[in-house]
Amino acid sequence: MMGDKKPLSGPGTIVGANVKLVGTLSDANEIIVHGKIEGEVISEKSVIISETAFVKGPITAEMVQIAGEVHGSIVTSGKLEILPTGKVFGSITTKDLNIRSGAIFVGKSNMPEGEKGVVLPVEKENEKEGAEEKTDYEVE
Amino acid sequence: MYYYILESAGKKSEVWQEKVKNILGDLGIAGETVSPSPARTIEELATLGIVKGYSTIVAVGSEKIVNKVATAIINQKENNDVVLGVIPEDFDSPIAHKILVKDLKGACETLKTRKLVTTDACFIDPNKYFLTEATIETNNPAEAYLLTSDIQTSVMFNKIIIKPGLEITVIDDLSEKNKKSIFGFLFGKKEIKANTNSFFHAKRFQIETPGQIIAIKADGEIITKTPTILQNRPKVLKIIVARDIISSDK
Repeated sequence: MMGDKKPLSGPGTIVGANVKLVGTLSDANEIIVHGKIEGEVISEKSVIISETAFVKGPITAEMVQIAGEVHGSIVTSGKLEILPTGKVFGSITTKDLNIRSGAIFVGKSNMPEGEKGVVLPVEKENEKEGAEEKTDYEVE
Repeated sequence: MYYYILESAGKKSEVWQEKVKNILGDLGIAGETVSPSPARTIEELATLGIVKGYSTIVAVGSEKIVNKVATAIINQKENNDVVLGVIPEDFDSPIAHKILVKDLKGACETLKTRKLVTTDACFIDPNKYFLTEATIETNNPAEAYLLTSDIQTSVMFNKIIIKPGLEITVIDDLSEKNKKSIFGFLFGKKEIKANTNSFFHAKRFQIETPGQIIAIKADGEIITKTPTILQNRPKVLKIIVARDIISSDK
């Protein structure tokens, strides 16, 4: 939904390759970007950044797939996938990250707050269980 | 109860209109029939029908007449109970699909069974409505700005289709960028297939075509020209549609 702060349900949004969009693009459904966007991209479902796309701004969605170039932070509640042609310059927050061979990612990767486990030294656990393998940390 | 506005007829459609009147008579839903003339436009006739107290105004003919009658009904705000009926002349047209009718007899029977739905309409400056779609078309690729309160979009297009719900499809299959590069082909450079078509939806947007004025048409008729403002008006008109067809294999 172009520029509507309260997106309604309906078909998604497709930004064509010869389109330049400036502003906040939000949609309750899928957003597919083939063109250029300067601004925020928000979807309650998925955002797909195709090979020809260039996005300068943050992306927030349940699922994000990137084959183009993104300069900005990405926050997903579900899966984030950076395909071999994908370039991401910015921080990412996701619980399910898949960076494919050939992809470029320059930034910091975070786990969402609710998904962070308690980090315990493994030694104590190993002592209890008598494990032979020695690792530094384990995430519960 | 029924007030029929028939499009000005040529010889061919005179025969068709007579057929319509006969079917309506057979179904027992014949009413006052009027046609536009240099003295009275379609909008004036529709307004007159509302003033006379008719509860159902039926547009008989093309989508042009349907949009004009719809505009008159919506603009008569104090007569919210007035219902639009449609007998389309083309059963492959978007309006025929919208009201789910497939032939003339079915369209007339639909008026009798009176299943009402409240539908969206698209408002376009200056004070006009359309129910199915409007198009902006050029022979060469052109640039357009689609503007909302917080988005500015620059698009290349050769056709833009606007539908109620304010769904905007931008078609760009003529741009140079879209053509395959001969050099890419000769030197084996990988071509990325550009998806140049776009789809947006909004409650309100302004459309501008910098450097040129382009007509916006509904069913081939110019309803306005760029730049203009379009808005979705949800649930603004009651329209008669066909009852659901329950199919059976038996």
